[in-house]
Amino acid sequence: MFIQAKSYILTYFRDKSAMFFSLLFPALLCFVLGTMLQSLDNPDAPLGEIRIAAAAEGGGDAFRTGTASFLDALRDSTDVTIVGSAADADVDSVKAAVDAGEADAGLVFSEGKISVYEGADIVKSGAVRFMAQSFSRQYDAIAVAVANDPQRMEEILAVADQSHDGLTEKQVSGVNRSMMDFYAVAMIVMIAFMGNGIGGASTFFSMRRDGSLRRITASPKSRVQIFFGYMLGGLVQSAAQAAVVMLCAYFLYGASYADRWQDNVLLFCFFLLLGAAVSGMCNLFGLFVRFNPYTPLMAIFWAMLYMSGTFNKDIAIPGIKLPPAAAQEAAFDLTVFGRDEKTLAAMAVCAAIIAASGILGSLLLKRKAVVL
Amino acid sequence: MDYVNVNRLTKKYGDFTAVDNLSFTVKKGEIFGFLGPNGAGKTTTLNVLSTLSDFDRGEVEIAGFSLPKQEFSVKRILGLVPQEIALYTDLTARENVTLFASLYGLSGAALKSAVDEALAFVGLADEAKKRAKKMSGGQQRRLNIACGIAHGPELIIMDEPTVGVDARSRDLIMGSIRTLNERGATIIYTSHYMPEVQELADRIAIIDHGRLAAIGTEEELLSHVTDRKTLRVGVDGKGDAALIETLSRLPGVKHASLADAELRVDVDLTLPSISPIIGTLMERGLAVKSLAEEAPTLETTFLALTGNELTKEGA
Repeated sequence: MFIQAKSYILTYFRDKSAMFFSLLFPALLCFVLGTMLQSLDNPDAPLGEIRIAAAAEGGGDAFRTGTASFLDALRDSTDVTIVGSAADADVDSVKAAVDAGEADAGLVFSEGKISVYEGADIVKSGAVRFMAQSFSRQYDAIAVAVANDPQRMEEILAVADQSHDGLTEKQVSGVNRSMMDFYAVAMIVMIAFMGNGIGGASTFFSMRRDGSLRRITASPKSRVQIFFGYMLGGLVQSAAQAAVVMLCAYFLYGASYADRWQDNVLLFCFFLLLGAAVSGMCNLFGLFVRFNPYTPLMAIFWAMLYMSGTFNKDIAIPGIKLPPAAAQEAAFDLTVFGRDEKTLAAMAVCAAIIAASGILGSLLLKRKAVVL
Repeated sequence: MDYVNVNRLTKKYGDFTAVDNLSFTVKKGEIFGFLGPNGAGKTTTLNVLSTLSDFDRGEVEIAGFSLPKQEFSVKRILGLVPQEIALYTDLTARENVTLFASLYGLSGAALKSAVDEALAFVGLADEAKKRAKKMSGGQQRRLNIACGIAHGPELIIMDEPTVGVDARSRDLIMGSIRTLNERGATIIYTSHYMPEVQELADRIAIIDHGRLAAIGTEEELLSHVTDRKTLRVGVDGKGDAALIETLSRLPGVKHASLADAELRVDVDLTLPSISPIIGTLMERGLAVKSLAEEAPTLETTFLALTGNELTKEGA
């Protein structure tokens, strides 16, 4: 079995086109994407200080009390600065502060309504808008409750006077994420399908075409050993591909993947099995078909990857989760949320596919007509 | 002693019978030539002997092992040199031979020694580190042979091992086949190049339409053809397909071909006169420069038995 694996690995590492498409190309892609995305969005990075110009005009007691409480809470936040005094400001001064760039966004509280004036920084403006919406919804709920039972106003005010320790901030995940974290995972999934898939399908097809399959099957090696040997070669290819992309993205662009090193090892093992599973299935395909499998597989894989959001982060057909999408989801679940259930399940599926491909491939190879 | 015994072998592909009740034997230590036009069933028979193909009826026994029951015992003593250059082109000559030899259980010093010997045997010792794809066609052919013989097989099946090689490589290959045989290997050899088979083979089988047309030594095969002789006519001028067709229709003419200003006409021994042949050539404006009569050759015999020219098809 190791003889076949060795031949596969030697051939793979010496085949310039295979090297380019499965190792150099992903590394280049890493470089290009990393350079392009370095200055772009960093979804978990802190927004920094948000400056808000606020004005409170009119409204009932409840509204004024709520507004003051909300603005106090914002002042208490280390990330928010309230520019000037809300009591002294009006709509025009708020607009002027935003226009002049003295504030990132403006909030005007008047007669039970909140108006948001957005500044140039759409991310910070958006954050202020969400805060205001949140307050507005809460206020509406209180207003309805008080209108139905005026006695409850006192209870609400009493609660509002108490400390606000009910909200505890927790870091969702311990590391900051960059776009490379997404693309490195997406790229490995892509390479697992493209590299292992095409390589796997080509193995038996080209061996049958050049006659080496005849020579190998005429030897005393069992066909099970022969098929599993080439699958083992696919596993090594898969390891090389995943390692190149993971290390390249990590060292060059600071992709961090999962928080814990154990999860990163698990992630690597998952990619390893994913590549081997794709390789096994395509070994089988290449053995089964009599035409060059390269073109149809390329088309199928590109379509699957595209529809799985590998290139654009959008699932093309809602409700239909194609294998690349499932693989990406399992990997992201582990890297972003530190949850390994989907990853382990996906690894189990990959292991089952590898075993099934091996058994079916060996059986197919036992049919002598397949070799000729 | 019969080393290979094929008895009433039949192999069908759907309705097509590729090999039909074929029987022959190969003696131990013999070089056995296997001839037949394209589609005659040669490759199918070789595939059965190489354990690569099942068969529908008949018995095949190699070195006392019966196929398909004792397939793995046969595989251990078998060396296959396929018609295709079945190599890993990105691997070096040494790596290729090592890989294929290790499939037969060789390892360590024994493997290294076998690989060195095989490479030296085919004259590629100096090219051991060269990748197969960087080699010439002739070198690749020789490497193809080295890969099939490194493990020291008792029976070597060679399917057209000299296709597309230059004269030097052909001579090297022919020499190495003779040496292998002298060392005790039994060789089954197919080629489209008749002189090779004549030169190498102790006995020759000619098959056609999946059936054995004739078998024996060269002399025995030649004795099959007692009804014809060959006229070799040197001509000055250009002949064409129409001329060949006209000549072929003449009474007593069995076959005609034209190559390199020489017309070869197989005629009945009982042909009373060659005047119609000469007359036809003159009518076409071809001057007769020389005329000779030739006894039947293996080529003539093959033609007589199969109705096809071997070299023309294989060229």
